[in-house]
Amino acid sequence: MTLGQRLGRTASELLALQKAARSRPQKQVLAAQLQRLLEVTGTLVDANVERATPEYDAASRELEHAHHALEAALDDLAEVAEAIERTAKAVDLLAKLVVLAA
Amino acid sequence: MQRLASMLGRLSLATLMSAVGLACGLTTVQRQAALSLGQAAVTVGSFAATTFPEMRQTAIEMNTTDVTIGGHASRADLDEGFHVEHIASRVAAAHALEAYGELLRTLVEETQKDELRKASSRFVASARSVPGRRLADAQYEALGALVEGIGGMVVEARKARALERIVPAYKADVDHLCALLLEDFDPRGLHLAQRFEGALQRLDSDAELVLAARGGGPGGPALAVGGMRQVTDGRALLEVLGGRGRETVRALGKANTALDAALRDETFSLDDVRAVATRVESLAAAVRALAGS
Repeated sequence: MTLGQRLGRTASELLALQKAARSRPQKQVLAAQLQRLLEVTGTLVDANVERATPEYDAASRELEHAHHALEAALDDLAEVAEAIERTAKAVDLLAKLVVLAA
Repeated sequence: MQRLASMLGRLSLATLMSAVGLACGLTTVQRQAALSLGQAAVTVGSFAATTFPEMRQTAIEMNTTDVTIGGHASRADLDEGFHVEHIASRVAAAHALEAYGELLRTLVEETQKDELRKASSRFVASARSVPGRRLADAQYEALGALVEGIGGMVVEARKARALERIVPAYKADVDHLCALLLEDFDPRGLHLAQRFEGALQRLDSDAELVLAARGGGPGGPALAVGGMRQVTDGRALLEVLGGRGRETVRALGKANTALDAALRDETFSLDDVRAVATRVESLAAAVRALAGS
């Protein structure tokens, strides 16, 4: 799976989880995560990302973890906090990738 | 007497050249392959040349709605990811594909020198304007000169020779143009469609927050519902791009490879030639559905 596919999948899952979440604060946190993710995705579209780097691998791995956490949260909303934490880690690593690509 | 013999000799030579010229024109299969590919390239090129500016316009409208409901889009950069320079280079590439298709069609169907010259000029000008083009300017001009040199008694043969030179020479460019479109049409390709999906997801998320909180200021919920409608339309466009759009571009690339082989008298897949016509029709139907016609 490519980085673009992972980013798109994570964004779709975050959006689905935001819509499924029951509390407003949770919706807002998930929306904020989504906006951060979309921001780095936009920057990565404009940048020429070097694929063969440890940062690229680390970001891809963390997106995979975020995907599993988001899937679990979509099944059981009690897992939302874990999904938010995992996604935040992935976005942090993506931000590092953006800095390297700039 | 000697003069008469010389004249008869020239006449015989001209007749022979004419006969050879007609005999050396395109075969039925080569004509069919060139016409199918030409039609496909015109359709895909014109679809892309229209769609990219539409994506920009739709992205601006979605971002405007998002700003209006107090969302995350930047009011200072409403065309974020769709700046004119980004779109212009893509439209140029789409026009190059369209001009190639038109040139193929003209070479098969037209006999008028003016038509050939017009198609050739447009092809050369547009091919030269594509970022990442594969040939030097002089090489595109040489290909154009081949077409402009067609005329006289051996038109069919010269048209066939021109196609035999142009299609292989321009093949790497067509592959390049197809690769650009495949990336830009892919919602997960880290190119234009993914940018578009990002704008759409941002508005979807912000509109959902407004509707959940009944916020967004006076008229906020109504604007948010309008935003949801824009999101729905945007998703339909992305679905066409990522689905039938990409399938048609892939079929176009294969048909170009098939035509290249056909013109070299090498083995090629007639199915690839036929498939592109089916894909083009399917894309056209989807575009009509999007336009509501």
